[in-house]
Amino acid sequence: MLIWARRLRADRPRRAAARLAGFGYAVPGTVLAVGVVMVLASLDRGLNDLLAAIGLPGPGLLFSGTLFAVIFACTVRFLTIPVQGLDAGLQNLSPNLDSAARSLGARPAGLLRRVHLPLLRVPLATSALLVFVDTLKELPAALVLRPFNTNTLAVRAFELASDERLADAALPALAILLAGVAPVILLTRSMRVPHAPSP
Amino acid sequence: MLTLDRLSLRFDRQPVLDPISLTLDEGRIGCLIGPSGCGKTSLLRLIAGFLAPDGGRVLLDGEPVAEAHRQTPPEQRRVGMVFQDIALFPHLNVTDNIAFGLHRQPPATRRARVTELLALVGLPGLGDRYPHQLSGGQQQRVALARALAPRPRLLLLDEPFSALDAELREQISREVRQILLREGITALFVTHDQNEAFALADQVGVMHGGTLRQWDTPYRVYHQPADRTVADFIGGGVLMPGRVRDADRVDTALGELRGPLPPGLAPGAEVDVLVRPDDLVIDDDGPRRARVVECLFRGARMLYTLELDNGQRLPCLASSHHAHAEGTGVAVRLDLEHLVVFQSSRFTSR
Repeated sequence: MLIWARRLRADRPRRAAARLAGFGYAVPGTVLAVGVVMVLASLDRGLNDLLAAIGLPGPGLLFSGTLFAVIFACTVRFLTIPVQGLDAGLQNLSPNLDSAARSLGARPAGLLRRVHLPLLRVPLATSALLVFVDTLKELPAALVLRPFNTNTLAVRAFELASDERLADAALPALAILLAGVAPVILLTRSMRVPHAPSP
Repeated sequence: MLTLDRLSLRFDRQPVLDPISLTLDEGRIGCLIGPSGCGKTSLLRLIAGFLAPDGGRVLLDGEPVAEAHRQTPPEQRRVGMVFQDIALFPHLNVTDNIAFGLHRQPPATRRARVTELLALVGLPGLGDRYPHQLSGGQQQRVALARALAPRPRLLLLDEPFSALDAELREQISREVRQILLREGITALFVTHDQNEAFALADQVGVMHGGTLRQWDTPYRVYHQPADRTVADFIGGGVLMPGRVRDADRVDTALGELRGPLPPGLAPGAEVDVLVRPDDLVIDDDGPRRARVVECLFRGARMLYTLELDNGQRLPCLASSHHAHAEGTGVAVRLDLEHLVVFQSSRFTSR
């Protein structure tokens, strides 16, 4: 999740892309899941056809049949959270910080690594956390896209609840709650000292 | 050292800088002054490489760093910059801030340079502090040290003292001049405070509306302004109407003035004569009467606004030993060292 966020940061000036990222959040999870299946399935078919053409055994449903599908769908769906969070974080930094770093010999990559990342630790952590919690709760997309023999907590809770096994469903449901709340508490704690000296 | 060659810039087809040319020699301190919005900060950003010019060239040591279609990126120009909002890295302590531009050097060299700079800016022993633990003046000094650390070819300072209070500003600007001279740094300042410019600079440039009106020594900018805009902006003077009598005499409400006149003025031509606050002296034996309209106490000096019989208002800077109340009459005499005369143009907005 951090990696997405990091990748996004580099995309910052491309405002249109950022707005597009918000799209996934607006679309219902089921619709998104179907869309993802279509895209990934055709990707799989293309890849398998290509490998077959050069005489290699196909890897099967490499994209649509694995965890990749779930991760990809969640990326698309929750992309907007880190985009917004980091954007807000960046707005707080004086553009002169960037200029100062550049005039002191930092290349754009150095600027990102030595100035932006350290200064964006808090918004980075916040959005990573939000994405984590949201992903944990995401039901429809996971339901459609999860590979066989893999379950997310939300799917498990849903299955048990729809079987009327409410007592059993409580366990994964509570797990979601705990897993969701624990990092929030940690984060609130760490945010109380926003300028804690770092090594 | 620094040469700007017909440099121009536009935003949305709106010209921000009309072709500007100037030269700053090695080790000299230049200063650009002008009202806000005259393009002086844009000019600095062009030199530093944060903006690309629409025309013209920037040359450092004779080597072009910005041309119409070829820009050297800012990190390769070796041009240091001190910003108006100081812009220290809040997540780094003073030592790491200063060492930011030295990261390619071995740690021992880096440490030595940081210690040297901390001593230079008068902050030894504060290396472990964070920017938010420092006062405004201290932050400014750290910002200067940070910009000086990689030994830039040219140092740019964008209104570096505007965030400081008046008293501190004078002290720091004097210190900065000492530091720049000691390090032999070529520097270009931007400010809207002419006292600061005169105190710091070897060369002063007056900018107005995206053009450089005059690029000269402070003395000449003050006493021989190139045009009425410069005269208007510098020194708080007033242009008083007059009429040319002959080759070196002008008649005004304060009597006949003598001095060299610009060529091409026929006798009888309407002109404007520059009167600076320090040109007018309150003298009981003075030939003219004036009424005190306003007086501003400035400590050692008193700044009066005087009104002549014909309604002409003039500023007058006098010793505050004798106070003249508003509304009283005084006798004045004009003590004009440098006669500055412009052809009268009744078309200008003033």
